[in-house]
Amino acid sequence: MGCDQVNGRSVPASLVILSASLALLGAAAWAEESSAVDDEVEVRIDTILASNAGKAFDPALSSLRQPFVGLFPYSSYRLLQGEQRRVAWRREAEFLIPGGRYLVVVPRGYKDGRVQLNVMLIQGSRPLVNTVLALKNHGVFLVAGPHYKEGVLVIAIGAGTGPIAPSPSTQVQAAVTAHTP
Amino acid sequence: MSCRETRPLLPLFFDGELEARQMRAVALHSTRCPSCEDELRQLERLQEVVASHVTAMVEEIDLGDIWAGIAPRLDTRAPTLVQRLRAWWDEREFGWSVRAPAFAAAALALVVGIGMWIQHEDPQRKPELASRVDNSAVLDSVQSSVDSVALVTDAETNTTLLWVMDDAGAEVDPAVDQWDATK
Repeated sequence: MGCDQVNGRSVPASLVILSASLALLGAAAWAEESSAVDDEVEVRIDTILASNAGKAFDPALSSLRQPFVGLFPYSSYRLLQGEQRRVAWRREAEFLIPGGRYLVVVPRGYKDGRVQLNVMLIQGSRPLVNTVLALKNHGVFLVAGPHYKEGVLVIAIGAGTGPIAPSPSTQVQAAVTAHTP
Repeated sequence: MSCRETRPLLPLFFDGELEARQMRAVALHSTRCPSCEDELRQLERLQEVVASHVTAMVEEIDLGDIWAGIAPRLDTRAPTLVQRLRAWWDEREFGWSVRAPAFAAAALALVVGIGMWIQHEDPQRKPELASRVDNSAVLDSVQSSVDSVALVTDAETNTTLLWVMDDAGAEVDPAVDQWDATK
């Protein structure tokens, strides 16, 4: 077998392999980007009672321990309820919050790895707060302050699109079952 | 143990197939009974004769042609994919100018494959880590009907907290408060 023949056959072969690898890389990158955005947003609302009555941290809130320790002065954190829904873009989703409040969440769009949300916390006919924010995909945003029982409510608002959200969802569901009389 | 009891057990004793208690009893009896001891010696001689005969017959067998019969059957096995690729590679006699980029491409494909596999191995892991590491939020606007609102951020996780100073909220309408049965 001559040298020319070797080169004549091998160069295209190696080019094919290289091209296939590059195509694979491109496909992987495209798949990652396209899978980042879905038709719906996974929105989850966890309502937590923070107080100084006792000293306990609900195991269902383990993923929130770090920010809670850094942000709140309370000694007890108990998950009251957790709810997770898939919400279509630009559609309202209402979540009942203990204490006669309710939360309205409207996912507006997705840009630069962030989910744009409109969040309204309403008590009766009075909007306690109305905010528009861009939350890191699968991130958590906290609203706190409304009084409830011996403490205050902390509302953890999580939103994510693409691969399934991290969520405490299974833990939350278990905790809700455990706490519901 | 009597001779009558011992005799049927002697072949089993010789083959070591009796329980320990019976082995001990047969052995004890045989040392004291010349007749049973003689029976045991006969069994030993019989075994020696059979063994020597079998050995002699095996030695007479010619095993020289066995491999000649096995080798052709081995050659009929289909080569594996790796063997075929290896043979193809060896036949081509590629130089390093070809092998080097081919190996590089293969390594690249392997790295990409491993990366994709790790990425999709546990779809819940990545978002979980991301949410722990970065919960950052950019607030475009905040409107509130309460006296004051505070915005705090946790430095470790970039988690943003919107604190609503809702003093009026302490007085909750029991009629709509399905959660607070004590009020």
